[in-house]
Amino acid sequence: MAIGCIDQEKSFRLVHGTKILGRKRVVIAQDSFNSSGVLSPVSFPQKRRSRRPQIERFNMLESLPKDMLVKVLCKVDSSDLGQLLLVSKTVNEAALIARKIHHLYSTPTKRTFKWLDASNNYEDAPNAPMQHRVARSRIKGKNLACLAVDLFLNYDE
Amino acid sequence: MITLISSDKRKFHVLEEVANQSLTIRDVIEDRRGRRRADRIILVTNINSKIPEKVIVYWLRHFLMPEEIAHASMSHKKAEKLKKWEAKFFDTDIDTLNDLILAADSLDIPSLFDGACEKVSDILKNRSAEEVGEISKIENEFTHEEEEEEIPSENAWVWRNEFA
Repeated sequence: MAIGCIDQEKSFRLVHGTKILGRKRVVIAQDSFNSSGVLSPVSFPQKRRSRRPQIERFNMLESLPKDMLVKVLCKVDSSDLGQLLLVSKTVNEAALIARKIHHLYSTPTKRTFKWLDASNNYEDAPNAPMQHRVARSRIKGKNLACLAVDLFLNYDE
Repeated sequence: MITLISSDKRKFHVLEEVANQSLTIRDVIEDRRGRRRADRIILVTNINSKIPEKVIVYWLRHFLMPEEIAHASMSHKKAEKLKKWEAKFFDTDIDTLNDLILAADSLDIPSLFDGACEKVSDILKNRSAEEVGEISKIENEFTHEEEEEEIPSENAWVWRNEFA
């Protein structure tokens, strides 16, 4: 989508310009961009792939510019990233970048820690003493409330 | 009032306060303040008219419930309602989502962008590479060897548990 000013005589040229680029985003006629001085957060695609035939144009993931694709893949669950590597070269590259800039630094989801879930694969340690009764928590809801209040009282003093 | 003109010459009249949700449009308006009336016309091209319509619908819904208020003091019920509405809004075909993402990026509407991205990631969730290719109509250009050996060996992290 392009944003440009309509300068009466330039408007025709503007629309014409967008046609050439097809679905590639952001087309701003250079002169109107300068004259309006708009520093909108738009960036031009780094490299334009050769034009594809009409039918192929509606490739969902691939029709997005690469930086956008990376942003989309940042939202994807990191466990799904592996499969995306195998989809196509473009998606593969984007997935690797997304991993580098986002998934390596994001908090893992619950699914990642499934293997840690004690209820699933809990095993007794060898030679551990038998436990006849389950240790019960000595903190009950009521006690906890008093504790919180006391703490705050101390803090005020 | 601001007039947005789409690539197929359709005009959309929008209140300035509503269109301000797009940071790009807000900057353009700010820049042209105090000028002639003709300057209140903004050309929004490169996308079919279905998308401006959707974007404006989204704006109107969110205009009634600005984000800052939404997070701080919105009642639980209202938040739930908005969530439901958004789920319905984003429940479209993948091409529309694609266009919405592009529009949200160039118009700089973060919430719309995030919403659309989340929907896409929902679609991709728990799917195999073949399924993803089918959905997004991408032809697999990898050879069999690459698929079986090269990519897995280069990216061992996928199959290794990184937190183990």
